[in-house]
Amino acid sequence: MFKRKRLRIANHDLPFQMVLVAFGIVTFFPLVLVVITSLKSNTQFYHNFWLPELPFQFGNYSSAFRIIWRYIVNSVLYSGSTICLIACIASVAGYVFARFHFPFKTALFLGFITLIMVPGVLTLAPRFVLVRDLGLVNTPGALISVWVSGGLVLSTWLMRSYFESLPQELFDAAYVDGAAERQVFFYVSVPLARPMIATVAMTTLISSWNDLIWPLVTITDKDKMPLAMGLMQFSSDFETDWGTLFAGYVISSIPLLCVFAVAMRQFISGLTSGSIKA
Amino acid sequence: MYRRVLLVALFLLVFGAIAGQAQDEITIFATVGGYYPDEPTENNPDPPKMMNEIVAEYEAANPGVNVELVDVPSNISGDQWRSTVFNGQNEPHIIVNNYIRVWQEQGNDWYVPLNDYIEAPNPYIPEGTPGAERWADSIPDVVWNTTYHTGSGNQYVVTVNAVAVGFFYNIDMLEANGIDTEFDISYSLWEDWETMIAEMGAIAEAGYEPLALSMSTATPYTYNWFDGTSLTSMYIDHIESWWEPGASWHALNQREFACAIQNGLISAHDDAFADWLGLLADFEPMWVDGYATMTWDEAYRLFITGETPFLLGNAASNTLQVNRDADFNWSVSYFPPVTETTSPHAANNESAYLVGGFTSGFTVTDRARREGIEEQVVDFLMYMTAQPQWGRVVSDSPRSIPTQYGLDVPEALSAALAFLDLPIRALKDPDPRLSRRYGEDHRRLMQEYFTDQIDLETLIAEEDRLMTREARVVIAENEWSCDFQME
Amino acid sequence: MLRRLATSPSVGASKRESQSRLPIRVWRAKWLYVALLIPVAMLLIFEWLPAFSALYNSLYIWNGGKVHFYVGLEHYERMLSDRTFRVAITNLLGFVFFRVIMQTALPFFAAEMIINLRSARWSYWWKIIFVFPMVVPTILNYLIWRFIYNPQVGLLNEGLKLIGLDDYTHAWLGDPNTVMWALAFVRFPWLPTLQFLIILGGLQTIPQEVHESAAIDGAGFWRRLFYIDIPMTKRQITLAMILTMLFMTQRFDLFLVMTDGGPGYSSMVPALQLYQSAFHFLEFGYASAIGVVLFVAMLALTIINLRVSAGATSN
Repeated sequence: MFKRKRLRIANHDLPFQMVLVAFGIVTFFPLVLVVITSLKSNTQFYHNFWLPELPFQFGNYSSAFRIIWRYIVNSVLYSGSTICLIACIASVAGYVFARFHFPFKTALFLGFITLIMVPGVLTLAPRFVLVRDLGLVNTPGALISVWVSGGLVLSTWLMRSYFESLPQELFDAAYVDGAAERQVFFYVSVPLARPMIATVAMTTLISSWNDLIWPLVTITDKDKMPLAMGLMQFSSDFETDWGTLFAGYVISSIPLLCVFAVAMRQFISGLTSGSIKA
Repeated sequence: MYRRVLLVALFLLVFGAIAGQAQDEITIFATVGGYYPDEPTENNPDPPKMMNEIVAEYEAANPGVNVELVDVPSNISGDQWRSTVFNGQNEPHIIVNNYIRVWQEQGNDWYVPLNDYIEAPNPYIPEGTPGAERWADSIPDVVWNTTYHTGSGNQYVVTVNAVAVGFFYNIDMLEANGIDTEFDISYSLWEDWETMIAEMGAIAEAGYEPLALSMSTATPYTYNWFDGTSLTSMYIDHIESWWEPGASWHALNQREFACAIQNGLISAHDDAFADWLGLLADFEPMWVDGYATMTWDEAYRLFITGETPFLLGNAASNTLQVNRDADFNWSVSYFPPVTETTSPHAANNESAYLVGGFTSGFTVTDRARREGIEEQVVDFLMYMTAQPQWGRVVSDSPRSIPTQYGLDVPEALSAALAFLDLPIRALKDPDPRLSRRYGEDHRRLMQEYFTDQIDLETLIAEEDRLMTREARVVIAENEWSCDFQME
Repeated sequence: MLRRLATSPSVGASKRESQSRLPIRVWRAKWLYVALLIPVAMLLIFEWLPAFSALYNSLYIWNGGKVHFYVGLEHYERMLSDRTFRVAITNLLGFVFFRVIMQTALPFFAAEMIINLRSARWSYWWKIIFVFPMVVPTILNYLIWRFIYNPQVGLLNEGLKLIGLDDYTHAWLGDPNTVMWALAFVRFPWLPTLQFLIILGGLQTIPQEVHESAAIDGAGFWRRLFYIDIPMTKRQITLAMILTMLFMTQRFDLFLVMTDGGPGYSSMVPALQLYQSAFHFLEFGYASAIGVVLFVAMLALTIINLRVSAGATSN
């Protein structure tokens, strides 16, 4: 049923391919190094920095997995809800900004976009006081609310650019058929915006998955900690357990890889649609 | 049908709320630093675990009290965590603290003064052991004197660990290069500073980088340790005039040092100060390449793989690590004394000085007061730090030398014992000597000098500016008077 | 009702709309405001409120706790005479300049290679390969680059020794002359995902016919590059530059993990100074003032950048 197509390199492509291969090797080298290090004990690592060394310490993976699996579950829940919320809110907001003229539109949109320029370390303490006053400390709400609002800045802008680039004829056709604005949004715009929604989901996933400092200050309960905090246990004041730490990083990126595999095509076509520009 | 389900649910909810109220439980959150019970891994099969048992015992003896241990990352995120949770009043009730940090944050009332508690008996210390009648007696005065806050006269920190520092050295490597590995004096390989530099120089000639150390504040950094000890030696004839009247030999507190600067008793323009800078500059070529931005782990690696024969480390906590990782013979030596062979200013100096390692201890935070459970929190602290409990913590994981009377130094740390008899250094690490900002800027200035970005003249001018400014700030903040020192 | 507000020219309402009075126009758009209520409220509460409190605190001396009193513009004056801040700004300018060029030129170059491939399958796979590293946490990359720059066994020095350039080995991060260069090259030649895909998108939307007619006119690779590809992706390139500038100006973890601003002050940048003022020295007021200055600088640079590129486009 599936016809395997061979990846053959045409003569014309050869010089370009060679440049790209060189690029790719250097880019991927650090990733290979992470995997190599994750299979070493500390002594092996100290004596031999760069090359893989026998025996491989597969035990690093079982130790790391035993400790961090429950944090992975937490992270999936937190990041998952964050993504759903952002996707909903940002597509509505992006649609409104892209398709309508209304008073104060520019001012409102600037209120979104200039937030990219506010340094995050600066707002940590005031934001924490706020979240505490809302009674959210040590609840998933503390993470999700702040991740959603932080993610909205970039996401709304991406969605707006995408909706603006959709051809007007599509909407006109729907209007002519007598569709209400709500129907146009749900049945025309959202399906068309799937690539950009994937983009928004992917960027949100990565930033929330790796965030350490915000969970660190808001979550005190061990059972509620997300993954980035779970990985903390492999390095302390006294020493770092390099092999297990790196094994933990590899394991923690597996869920990301799964999402990546599923959403890749959409993600790339969302950002390369040509709609995003200054 | 589902109306009944709704009713049951409502009932459960109300009942649950009432039951929750009735129990009236207390939860104590505590950080315990390096003794946090991590889970074992392949490479770290035996992490400290005694804290869990102690918590379980305490909870069993005190129904209704929960103790939750909180893990805090060491450096980068740790600082952000601290400020944020304190600012948001969500700090743990007991927190491991560096006393300099406590001083710095003094104006905030973030910590409960423990003065009254340490004067009272600690019920968990057995009859006849120091501390049973007066908690403070369980810990030597020299420790309390180092950590108490001069501005308020309050004692905020219960310090249960002493840090001993020293040079780890690779015996096999030194012998292979024909260097004698016998101690010349009771605590050191070398009889004086000059001999140390000469021998390390010989190693450098043989093609090795002699000493691994780190001088970056992003990690626990070790350079600091001989900064204060060597400065003490250079001012040995003057230090007495910096004391508050009637004091005996001790580690100067912030006020004494700030006032010494204010009153012109020490200045960067002194000959002794220039000699001290020279002493450090002569030593600097012995340090490994890249020490300025090196992490502790990188320095440690150099020693373990036999690339450098010396490592400046914590003779207590790092001993465990070296024991496990080194495949050569090794031992620990202390710094040699700085004597007249190095500088005329050190002519009357007889000894090296102990790096007064009482840096971290337990503080009780304002949250205990706000929640009205101060007594209970202090009670747990008394339980945890009483000799029977702390002795088990330390023998389970010998990472530091216990300060309490009646506790033996764990077998594994016996090498560090000889150093503990040395007199304490009068001048501490740059940070507690004056202020954290001084410590940071001083370190950066020294690095600029070592890497030839500035010359000696500029260094002295900048140090002078820095010292006078920070002394003024510290004195003003605490509203101290400096009348006790004569000019 | 809403349809009249839509951007559609076929509805033709916009002209009439703009002539109505403001309250009427606001009333007509009420459902739009309702739709924006949630995001606007969230941003106000969780983003703008903390940001404004930072602005407010920049006028105070605040130690993160109880010590909190008004000092007016004192922090801003102090910044003018602060040697550390001056050095930090100089370091940052060089760093950002270099990173902006690197993080725009490399993605452009790679994207150009990819669109030149005739095999659609290969070009698809290359996109995936270059986007893939985004799953690796930034902090992990820094750890790896510490290994690469390690003075004793680092890959860079080992490589130099291997090809006989022993004299060029360095403590890359420990030498004030090399440290900023070493930091500028961290993660080289990684393609920042967002910038890479945006530029690639720009190149892909250049109509096939344009390239074909250029080929018929005998334009080679370089001519095409400078006369077609770069001018036609100007807006994407500008955006990539702005984004890089914004991200790099706020970066402090790189410096904290790799050098802590050292040796001396040679790799100090304002974002790191902000971090240290706040969390090491408990000078939250001064830290906030640095943050405000950074914000204003970024805003100004963004506007200038947009103006320049808009001016260039209209010519």
